[in-house]
Order: sequence, then C-alpha cells, then structure tokens
Amino acid sequence: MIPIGAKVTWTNHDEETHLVVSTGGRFPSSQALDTNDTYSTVFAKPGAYAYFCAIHPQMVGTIVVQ
Amino acid sequence: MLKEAKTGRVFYVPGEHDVIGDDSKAFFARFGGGGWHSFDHRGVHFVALVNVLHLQAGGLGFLGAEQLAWLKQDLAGLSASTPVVVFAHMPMWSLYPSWGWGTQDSAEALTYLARFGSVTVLNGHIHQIQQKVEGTVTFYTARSTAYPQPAPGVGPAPGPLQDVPAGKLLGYLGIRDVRHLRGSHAIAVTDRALG
Repeated sequence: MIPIGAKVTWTNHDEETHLVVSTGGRFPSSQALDTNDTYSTVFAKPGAYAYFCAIHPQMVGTIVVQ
Repeated sequence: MLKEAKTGRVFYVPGEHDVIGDDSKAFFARFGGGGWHSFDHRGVHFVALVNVLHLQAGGLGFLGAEQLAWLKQDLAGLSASTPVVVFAHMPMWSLYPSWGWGTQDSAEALTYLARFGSVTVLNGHIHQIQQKVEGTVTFYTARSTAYPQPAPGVGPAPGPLQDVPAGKLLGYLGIRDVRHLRGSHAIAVTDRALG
C-alpha cells in the first residue's frame, strides 16, 4: 500500500528473467529484467493495480494506491 | 549440439524465454516459420504448437482460440489410425499448475486428439523427465541442456537448482532421441479360410 504519487521500484533478485506487466494495461510494463535489474514507475492515481510476470504468469501481485 | 544433428530439417517451437519483449518476432525471423504448424513424415502426423504467447495473469501456458481452431481443422481430415506426435514447449497436461506447469486450454486441444489411436505429446519447460499416460495419449517432458529444475512442489518455487555439485550437473541435463521401431512379429490372432 502506497500513497498517491509514490514511485515503486522492483528489483529482480532471482536467477531467472522476470517482467512486470500490468493486468489490463493500467501502467507501463517493464522490459525483461535480468538478475539485479530494476524497474520503476510512479502511481499518480488511487486504485488497486494488479500485475504479473509475462513469462511466469503464476507470479502475481497488487499495488494499492491511496 | 543442433549443428551435430544428422537430419535434413529442423523444426522449432519457442519456449517462454524465446519470445520475451517482441511476441516471438525475432525467434521466428531467425528460425523460420510463423508459429504453429504441422507436417507429415512416413505416415506420422506431426503438430508443433506454440503455448508461450499471450500468457494471462495467474494463468498457465496458453494456446488461444485461433490456434485451437487451426488445430481442429488440421486434424479433421486424418484417419483415426494415423499416429500423431504433438510438440509444444510447456506441458500440455496439468503437471503442477501452482508453478505454472500446464497449459490452461490444453483440455480443448486434447478433445480433438481423443479419437486417434496413438498420440505422443512431447514437452519441455520443466527441465526434467515426467510422463503420464491418459487413454491413447502419452505425455513426456524432457531434460534441458541449460539447468536443472526442482521436482514438482519440492521447494518454494520453480527455478534453477543451485545446490547441485558441479561434478553432478551433467547427470541432470540431457537430450532426447525418439526412434520409431516397427514390430517384427506377426500379431497373435490370424484367420485363414479353409479353401
């Protein structure tokens, strides 16, 4: 859960490549992230933003902005 | 390893890492073909499926309506006695869904294959040998040439096994040969007219 306007940074600590993809395309997707690569985006509007990894779609999460 | 293969033609299907970022454009530009396809060889019908594109949140491998419609049409004209070999990267059965090891719409594809007397399904993705027989359909996954993965459900998540001693690594990796062996015996029941 984050405040409006906060920037979220994902860091890939895994050996595998991962992506951050917004379910429904509600925020920009990352490029493929290799080990220790990062991806950041700012959430300007309130809401619940679900996301997943396009290579490993069983990996999911949600950012709640309020 | 592929360069050493003694074959005139090589057929490729992409894995999920082959299609990252460009929906498989670079993969097919390099290896030819435009996606799913089929061909016949010595009476066997081979079908190559692509189940690593357009994956959905929380989902598994995915074939999609367009590919399923093509498959149905592709198989429609074949006699049920035609041996069929299907290959696709991700497992075509629900091997371990919570790790994404399955294909969410494979059941639909298997209904088209159910009438055939011999169906062999070859998959990769999980970097280990698992197999299953369901009616006339036999499923096989193969080892990888890259890195080993854990057995289904062993440990917190899929991914490279990192505690394999270097000297044991090659025991986890491998390739698969499939040979067609025609039986040499007459079938046991024979009928003869008396005159």
